[in-house]
Formats: sequence, C-alpha cells, structure tokens
Amino acid sequence: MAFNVEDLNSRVVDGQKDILSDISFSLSPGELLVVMGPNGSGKTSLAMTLIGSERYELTSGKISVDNKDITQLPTEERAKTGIFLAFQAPPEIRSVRFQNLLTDALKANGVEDPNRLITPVFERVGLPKEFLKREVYVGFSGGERKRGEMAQLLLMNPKYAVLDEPDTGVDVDSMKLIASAIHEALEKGVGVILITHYARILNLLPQKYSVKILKNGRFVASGGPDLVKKIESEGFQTVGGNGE
Amino acid sequence: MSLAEQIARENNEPEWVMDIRKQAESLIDRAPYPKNTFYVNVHNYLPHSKPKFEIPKIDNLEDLPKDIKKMLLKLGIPEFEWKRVLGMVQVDEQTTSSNYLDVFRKQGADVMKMSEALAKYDWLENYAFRLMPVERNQIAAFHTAYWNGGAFVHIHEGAKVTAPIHTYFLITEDRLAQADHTVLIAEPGSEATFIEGCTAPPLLQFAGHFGATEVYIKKGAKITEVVLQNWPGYVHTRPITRMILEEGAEVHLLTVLLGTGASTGRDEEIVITGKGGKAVVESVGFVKDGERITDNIRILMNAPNSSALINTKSVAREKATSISYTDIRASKNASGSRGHIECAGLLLTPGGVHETWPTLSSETNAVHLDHEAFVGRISEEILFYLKTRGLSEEQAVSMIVQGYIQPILKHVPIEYALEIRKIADMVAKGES
Repeated sequence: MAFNVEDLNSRVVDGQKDILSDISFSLSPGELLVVMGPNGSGKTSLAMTLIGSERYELTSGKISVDNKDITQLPTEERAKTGIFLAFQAPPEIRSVRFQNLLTDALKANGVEDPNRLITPVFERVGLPKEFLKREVYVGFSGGERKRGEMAQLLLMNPKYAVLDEPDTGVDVDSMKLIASAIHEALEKGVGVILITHYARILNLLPQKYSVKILKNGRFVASGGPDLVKKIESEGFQTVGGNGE
Repeated sequence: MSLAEQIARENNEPEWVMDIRKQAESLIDRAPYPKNTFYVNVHNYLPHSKPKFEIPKIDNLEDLPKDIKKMLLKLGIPEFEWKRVLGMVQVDEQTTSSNYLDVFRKQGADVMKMSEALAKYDWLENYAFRLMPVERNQIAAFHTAYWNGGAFVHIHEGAKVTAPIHTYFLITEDRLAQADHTVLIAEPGSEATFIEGCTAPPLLQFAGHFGATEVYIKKGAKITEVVLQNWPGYVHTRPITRMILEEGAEVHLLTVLLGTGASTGRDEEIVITGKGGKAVVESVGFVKDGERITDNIRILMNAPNSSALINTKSVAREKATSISYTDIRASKNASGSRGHIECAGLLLTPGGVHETWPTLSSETNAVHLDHEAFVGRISEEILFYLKTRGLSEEQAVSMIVQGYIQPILKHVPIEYALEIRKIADMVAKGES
C-alpha cells in the first residue's frame, strides 16, 4: 500500500524542455512527505503532473496508487482512485454554490448521503456554514480559500493528498486551522504530500516527516526535520546544489 | 369586408373592438417592423382559420379529443403539464376552458375566454388593446387586427388566488399565425400566479405565434407570471407583453425558453406609474443549433422609489444566436428609484453567438442604476478544478448550468422547476 512515483519526467504540452526530471518517491498511508523548494522550482508542476493536468505530458515514468497504475488515467479517474489536490489558488466558480459543489463531488465519489457530513466539516476549518450558500470562493479571503480546500480534504477522505502551498499568504489563526486539518487527515491514514516554502507550518505538525528539496524540477536533497531547520537558517542556496 | 371586420363579425364582437381591429389592419403596412428583432414577413401567415373541431370543457389535457391528445403525446408534453392545466387550452384559434374556473371564482378570480369577456363587460374598453403599440410596431398592428383566442383574467380586490392560473397554447395548423390576446387585471391588494405554456406538433411547414398580453396591476397587487415556451424548430414567435404598475404594485415576470423555435423575439415593456412599484423580469433560454433569440425588455420607472430588475440568461450550443437588449429608464419623477440589469450568456460549444446590449438612462440624479454582464464559455481552469474533485467534464458542465439557472427557478412551481432542470441537463450534455 503506497503512492509510488518512479522516474517521473514531464513537460508542459508542446514545451521543449522537461520541467520535472527523475522524480521518485514512495508515500505510505498516514505518512507526511514535505516538498520544499524556492519559487519556480517546479512545485506546482509536480502537483499538476501527479493529478494528471492536461497541460502537462509525461515523457517517462510511472505513477501508481496501491499497486494500481494510474499513469494514463485522466484527472477525474485519478481523483476517484483516491488522489486529492488542494489548490494553491483555487478558482472562483460563479453560479455554483459551495454546498452544491461538495454534494456533487461527494456523490461522484460514491458517498450516498453527503449533506449531513458537510456542515460540521466546514465549521471544523473555521468557515461559517452560511458560506455554503455562497458561490464557490466568490468573495472569500485568501485564508478562507485555503481553508475551503482543507474542508474538501477532510470531506473527500482520499487515500493520498497533494497540498499545494496551503500555508502561503494566511494569518496565524488560519495557519493553525490548516495545520490542524492536515493533522486530522494524517491521523485518519491519509498519506500527505505537503508542498511549501516555509517551515512555519511544519512546527505545528507532528515532528515525524520526511523532506525532499526540489530545485529546477529535480529532488536535490532528502532528510527530516533537521534539514528543514538548516533551510530555515541558511535558505535554499546552500542545499543540494542547483539541480542542474 | 376586410378580414379584420370579418373576424369581428364572426365573433359577435362589440363595435369598439371591430374599430380597433380595423384601425390596426390599416396600419399593418405602415407601422415599422420592430427594431432589434429578426425579420418575419407577417403576410406569409394565415391570420385566420376555420375551426376544424369543437373542443369541450376539460379538467386536464387527458380530457381533450383523441386526435389532439395523440398529438400532444407525440410531442412529449411533460407529465406535469398533463395534470396541471388549470385554466385554458387554446388549439389554433379555439379556446377551451377547464372546470377549474370554478375554483378560481371561489378564490376571487374570473378566468374566461377573451371573446366572452369582451361581450360581457363594456368597461373592458378602458383596458383591452390600450397598451398595444399598433402605430409603432408592425407585429403589434398585425396582432391587434387579427388576434384570436386568449384569456381574460380578472382578480378581484384583495383576493389571494393560490392555485396557479394556467393557460396552454397549441398550434396545429400549417402557416397559422396564432395570435392570442390576454388581458390580466389585478385589482388593488390582490395576488395571483399566472402560467402560460406553449407548443406545436412536428407536422407543420412553419407557423407563427404572435400573442400579446396586457397586464394592469393596481395599488399593492402582486402578480407572478411564468411563461414556458417549448416551440419546435419551425415556429417563429414574437410575443408582446405590456404592463402597467400602480403604487406599491409588484410583478415578477419569468420566461423559460426550453425550445425557442426557429426564432423568438420577445418584446416586453413594463411602466411603473405609482410610487414604490417593483418589477422583476427574469428569463432563461436554452438555444440550440440554428435557433435565434432576441430579447427586448424595457422597464420605465415613472414614479418615486420604484425598483426594476432585469436578469437574462442563456445557454447556447452549436450555431445558436442569442441577443439581449435590455433597458431600464428613470424619468424625472423617479427619484429614489433603483434599477439593475444582469445579462449572462454561457456558450457551451464554439460557433454560437451571444450579445448583450444593456441600456440605462435617467432624467434625475436621485437614482441608482447599474448593470453587469458576462458572455463566454466555462473556463478550462474551472473544468480542471472540478475534475480533480472526481467529476467528469459532463458532470461539471451540468453542475455549472444547473447553478446558473438556480436563482431563476426558485420562483417557479416545483414540478416545473424539476422538469426544467431535466431539460437543462439534456442541453448541458448535448442530448436535446
């Protein structure tokens, strides 16, 4: 049982050069893998490639979930296999109410009576239940959007989740709520890939995780909480060369 | 004898009605064709037909003569309409009425054939055809000269009519111009919901629906009017609606175009004459390949503290055309009034055209008027986001289309809303 990625190389469709090179990792249920890297290192490209965005094409490699090869599956099928992506900047969806999004998404994933689940989880991440009647993310603050993504993480109950910078641009209170949601997901056995710039959020999570540093689309260093401390004091410059 | 006179005599109409018909007939070739509407040549239509059969009084569509029933079944009239025609059915030029009319009478509303009402009430001269712009609009002149059938609805002072008053229009004759004329008068403090359904069978070359509705809403009265059109691809419709609102009167006019026919050109004008009058006009149209819609909706605020809202939405597939001209005007008497226009066009596939032309104008600075508009497709970013939640592209589009029409449907009776949702789903999936 694991989320396995082997020798993944990908590029933007019609692009000349690979954006991700030789990416490999294995993530077990309930495990936390932290992916850190400077701006432009390919962190969002990694998230997009894992979920199967049509804007990226694999040049080689294999992605599997609990021994099921999902390399060729379209995004919605990957989602149904149990991969969840929390967006760094989720889009506003005018005309669709949050409640309807959650109901339809849960139904598509085989949950029969989703409505009773939604409100408690929404409130759990600090969003008033009135927001369920609003159009998806229309008029939400940055922190509220991130927490909206966390509510979906808890509701969708995936096997593995990729969280793309859930901590960027949020205040301390939001940060705590977000960390607490991640903690809950881990405890429920969700394998989590947490993509972030900063160590701050990691201080709010259990100190048992592995870290990979991404630079120029390549993992250049691996480690644990100690590596994060090093980056915090010295920056990304001194760690693992430049990946070229 | 002119055709207008002939029709008036056949119907035993009062002199004043005949005069109005004759005057309108003389204007058909002089009145200009209405602006901002696709052209139809009114001379290509039969303005009048001899009845082919008698239709009896009915409780619902089940009671119609076998031939007509068979045709309706072929048309796939939704079940809810079978069970809920609680007023009148007009086939071509003949009108039948249901036993439900007694129910309305008990609740304080008289519902009858237009011709019957004109024979019965002299005072209708002060209302009927008074709002028809015969000199400025060829379609209105044609309608007024040769109108046939239609209903008269009179809601008495203070009456609250709970059962929706439902009329249904069906064209069965080739080249016929069905031109029903309906007059609705809501006396002070009354409330009612009026529903109009329309269709035609798939056997004709072409046909026209040139119906008109005149509505008078008096002090403090509240009217909801729901128009459901489901015309097949060869019918051209040019419905005209005119309304007058007195002090504190409210109207909610809601049009749902499930099948727009070959072309639909709605022409609606509401004039608010009393302070605090409130008009809401909403519409949603589903347009498919080759179909064309033009909406012309105007609200004129001519009294203080009036309120006007126009909200048009269309969902288009393939080479469909949907153009919406909306217009809210505040006269110098309209201080303290508010007006808002919202237009949205969702193009589900390439090749369609959607235009919105909102106009706001004011003769006083003591008003607030604004508008917002959106035309386009569903963005790739949104579709991708929804796919990451396990929804297929079809499910994602359907969810957005359903959400798009939701605010409008909340004012429609539930059985209708469910049926409209089903059709919306078919449009979203390209099945209709």
